[in-house]
Amino acid sequence: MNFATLLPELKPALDTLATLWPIPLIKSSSWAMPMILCLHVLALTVLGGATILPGLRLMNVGMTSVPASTIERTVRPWLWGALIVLAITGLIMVAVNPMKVYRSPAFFVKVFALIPALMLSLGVVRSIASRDGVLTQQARILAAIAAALWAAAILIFATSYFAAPGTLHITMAAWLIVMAFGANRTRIVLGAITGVIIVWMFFSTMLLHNPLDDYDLVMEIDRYTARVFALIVGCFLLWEFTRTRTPEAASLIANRLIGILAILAWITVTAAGRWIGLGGGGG
Amino acid sequence: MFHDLLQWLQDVPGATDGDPSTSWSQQLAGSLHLWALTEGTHVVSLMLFAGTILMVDLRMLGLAFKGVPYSTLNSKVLPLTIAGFVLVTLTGLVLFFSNPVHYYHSVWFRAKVLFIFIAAANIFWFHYRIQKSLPEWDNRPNPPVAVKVAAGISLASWIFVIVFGRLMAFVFFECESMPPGSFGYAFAECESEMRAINEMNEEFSEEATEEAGEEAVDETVEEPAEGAADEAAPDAATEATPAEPQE
Repeated sequence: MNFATLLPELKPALDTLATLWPIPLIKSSSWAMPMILCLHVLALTVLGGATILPGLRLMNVGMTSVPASTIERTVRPWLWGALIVLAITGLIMVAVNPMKVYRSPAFFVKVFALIPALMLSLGVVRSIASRDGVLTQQARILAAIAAALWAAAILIFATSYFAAPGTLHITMAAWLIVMAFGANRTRIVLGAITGVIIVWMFFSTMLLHNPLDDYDLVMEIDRYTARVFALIVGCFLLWEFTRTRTPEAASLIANRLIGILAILAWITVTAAGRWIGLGGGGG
Repeated sequence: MFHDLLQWLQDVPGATDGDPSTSWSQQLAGSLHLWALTEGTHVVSLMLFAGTILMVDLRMLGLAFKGVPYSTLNSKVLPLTIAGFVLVTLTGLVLFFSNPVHYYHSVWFRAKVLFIFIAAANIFWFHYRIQKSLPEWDNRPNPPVAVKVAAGISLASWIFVIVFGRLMAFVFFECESMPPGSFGYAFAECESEMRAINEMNEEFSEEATEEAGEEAVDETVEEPAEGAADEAAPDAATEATPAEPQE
């Protein structure tokens, strides 16, 4: 799935996009594009800090002595600054080579995943944090819609032949969250399962690919192993952060999950973006 | 300096029957997904590492989290930064291993390593000298000048590290295009890389002349077939162009 198959009527407009000012100027300069790309990466790191800190605070980890409203208010200008720079540099990157993203399934996932990511950061996290943990009905509904959209984005990401490996970054981020903030027993069990998966991957490559030289078989095994691993990590994440030792208000659990989702949503956008140049341009 | 060691690292470990194109380094460089996943992890981990170090540095500069004691960020945020740093470094080492000789001679990579060392020295200086006076300025929204200097050096050096890392993908200052005797040529120790490249080119041209000698014998037999192939080629060329807009 990509924009070319969904919006074929856009193609003539995109052809002229590359001729609009200041794009030809940027293309003819040897240092303009590198600078744009560097700004995109730098803004990306600022976005990282501005989304991870409030997300963790909603999970009630990290700077727990600082009110969530303080954290959210402090990172807000950096979040907006990063988003603006990312949007401008991103638009330039698209305009300089529209066909590349037009046909890219990863780019479609990126744009699609931007919607829940923005809803979560600018809408839900802001609402909960500014109220120091109070989850309003509106925020709850917005979060549910964002979660559904994100799930759809992940599904498209994972079923895209060329871009699917990028979903491993989201699995890894979820894995890190469980390993960093989960209970000891959870960490040990997940760690052991991860070890088994790594050994399985090693042996499936050595025993199946090398002697049989069946590349397609190994690709299929890789694909299914990655999906199984993602499901396992997802289950661990949900179980670890929805269970409580003390009777807690449901909204606290909801806040925890929203904090995690807010972080993972931006990882999804980044991972999809990274895979634009790496996969093929096919459907 | 390390050119030969890195050439060995690129050619030998994992190679079967002494064929350098089968080494682990080459396998990684030619891999369909493993290199891409490593590079992607490198960039995504940057969000964790650089994103959190930004916040800590901003506190040290007195620009953010002014009401929060520095010790809170030190104990709650810095562990995240360290975790991010471990990820970035591990993936970075794996990426380096995929093409060690090329990266070793890259002007951008060398500048990147230089600024990593500057950032590390800065961290040691801050941790072992300035942090001792922490109780005096922990709660101050406006920390002392030395603290701000450390934060400024930290921010600047990591920005350079990221920028130089991004620029590594561009071919501005490759050894082949820099004049011998220029600063860039010396900084990248191009002499050893150019020697290796010239040796490789000589080997290829020797093989090519050998093959050409063999082909010259074959060509006299195949000429009639070539004439037929030339007639077929213009048709293929005209067929190719109408197909493009239909993509």
